Amino acid sequence: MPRIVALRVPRLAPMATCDHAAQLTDLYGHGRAVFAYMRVIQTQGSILAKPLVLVALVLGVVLLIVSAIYVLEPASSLPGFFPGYAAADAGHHYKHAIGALILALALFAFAWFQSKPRRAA
Amino acid sequence: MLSYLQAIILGLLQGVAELFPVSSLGHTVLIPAILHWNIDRSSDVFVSFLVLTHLATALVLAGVFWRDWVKIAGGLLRSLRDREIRADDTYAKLGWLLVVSTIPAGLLGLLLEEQLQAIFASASVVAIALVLNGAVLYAVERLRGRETGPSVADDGKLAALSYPSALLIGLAQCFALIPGFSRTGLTMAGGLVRDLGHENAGRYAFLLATPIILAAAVLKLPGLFAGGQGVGEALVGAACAAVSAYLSVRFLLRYFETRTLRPFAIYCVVAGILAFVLTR
Repeated sequence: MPRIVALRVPRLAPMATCDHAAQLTDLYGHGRAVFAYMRVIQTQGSILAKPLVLVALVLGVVLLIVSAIYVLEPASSLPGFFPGYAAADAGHHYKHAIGALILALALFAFAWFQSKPRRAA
Repeated sequence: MLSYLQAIILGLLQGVAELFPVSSLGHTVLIPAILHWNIDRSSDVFVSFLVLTHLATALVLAGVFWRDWVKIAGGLLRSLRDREIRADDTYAKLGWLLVVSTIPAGLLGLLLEEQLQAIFASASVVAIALVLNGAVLYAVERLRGRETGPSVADDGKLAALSYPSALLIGLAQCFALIPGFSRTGLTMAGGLVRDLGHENAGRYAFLLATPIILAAAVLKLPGLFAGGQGVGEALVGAACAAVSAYLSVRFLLRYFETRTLRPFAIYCVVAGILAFVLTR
């Protein structure tokens, strides 16, 4: 049986479902069901919020790497699927590198704002 | 080669046309074609001239709006520190709106600017784009209907824009990469569609133009004066562009307090048709 931790939650979410409450009451009894239910609500909230932050972070890191590849490798040595790949071009695509860097920074900024811990009222 | 007279005329034209909603790129293609000036647009001299005139225009814009930029930079830093863009922090919100609006055209410009300008280099195509630019401006004014009163500069109203609206304005700005479409005109049109007044749409367009024009110019600085030629002409052109840009922005800020884009729309359509006929 999972351990229930008492959480400071300002108020129960209005979208509380009877199913959850009933299941939790069965599992933990009346007294602890409220805390368990609070945990369910909070977990649901973080599950909704975290994937976006995670995706933004992963994409941001990928774009940083892409940006570095554009700076370090000439157009002829880029992976074939990269925009700007040209077999006979010895030049570097610095503008592509800057573009990837800007996107990465935008994604990091998004993740930075979205991952701020929400303070309970 | 570019003579001093040509540098002065094109410099003055660049400063005016960059900020008036009539397409500077379009005019730098059309005017030489109409006057039968044999200017190699890909030459080092002309590229240096373009970079310096754009740099001058961007610096003038940054100078005119320097107080706003200081507040916007402060707002951006404040929001990053607090990890929150507070609803009552006008300049933090405005800063991030400008970031959102800048990203689409910035990315597209970095990736496709040269290809787009090569595709749309023909004077006839630019003339058609100028007509379309005028049509868009006129259509937006028609959709908007009659103004109820003078437009008042209000950064709070700018900051009240939503992020999707900022993105829409940024996407509209992307079309300005095509010579003949005006950056100021399209971003203003985007702002007007999102219920900004002319004064505020104009201010947003000028604020939005500054980082893009500056970045485009700075990116090309390393290749400046590669052959060591045309330094004097480019500097004279830049000085002319700075003067005309300053006068233009001052004029337009006052103009848009009470007036609309209609005269510019009509100018673009007429000039585009004339240019199309003259360059055939």
